[in-house]
Amino acid sequence: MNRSTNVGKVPLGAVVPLFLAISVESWVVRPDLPGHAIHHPFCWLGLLVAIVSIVMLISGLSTHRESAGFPGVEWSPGGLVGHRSRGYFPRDALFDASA
Amino acid sequence: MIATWYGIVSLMLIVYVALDGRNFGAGMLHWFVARTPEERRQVVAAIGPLWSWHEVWARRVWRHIGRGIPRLMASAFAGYYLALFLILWCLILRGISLEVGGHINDRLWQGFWDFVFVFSNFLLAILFGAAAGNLVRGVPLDANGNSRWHFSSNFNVRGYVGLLDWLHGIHCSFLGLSYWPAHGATYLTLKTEGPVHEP
Repeated sequence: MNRSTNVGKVPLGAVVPLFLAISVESWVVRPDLPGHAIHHPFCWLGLLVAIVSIVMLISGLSTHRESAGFPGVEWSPGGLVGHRSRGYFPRDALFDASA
Repeated sequence: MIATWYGIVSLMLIVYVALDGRNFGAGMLHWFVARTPEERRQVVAAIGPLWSWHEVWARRVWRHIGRGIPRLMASAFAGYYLALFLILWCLILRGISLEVGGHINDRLWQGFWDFVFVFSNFLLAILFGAAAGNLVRGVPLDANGNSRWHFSSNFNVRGYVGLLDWLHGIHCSFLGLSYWPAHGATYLTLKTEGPVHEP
């Protein structure tokens, strides 16, 4: 296994626990979010993309197939933004394009 | 219409994070994967040709926010004033260190700019992570859309909280610190050969 992969895998172990912790904390600070997000298709689509991409990344790094892990790491931000889009997009359109 | 602008801005933000994230990660791993000055030059060379192209997407994000959602831009700059200036300075210092770090063959000179390069990438990961966490949590705005809050306040989860020293924000920063090194590691694995690639 090469040096870059070895070093990169160390902090990667914290990603899944942190993601779970952040999800719980988001529910604490934005209790309205899960209720709205569960009916939002982007939430599920983003979650699917994020999970698949993180699995691709971890398996790519574990099996020395970094070229397979690279698309995973490229797509995971999109999945996370999609999953959290209910939080990013304001429920009430506070900002008017014409203002 | 507002949803379309949000979609465009989100797409550009995703592209920026996907493309420039590899530079963040490679910069954060700079000292850990490269043990000699020659190896460090190899890491810089891996991201050197395209780093400024990737930053164009960040400029596009701000340009489209300014055009499509001007009140959001005004509120963001007011509320995130110090954080945005820190991000700006980190991006500037990262660019300077990439461009001038290898110009003089002196260990002190190169060591200094290597430190600036690594430090600015770590700080960028922390700040972008905290910014994403704050967006999920929601930014307190008054009736005029103005946002005024401290850079840091306390560790409470409710009430008047700040940008960084809040459990959710800090965890999101840690997520950035954990995720981007993996991003950089996969990129360096594909783009480097020799010592950086070897155990």
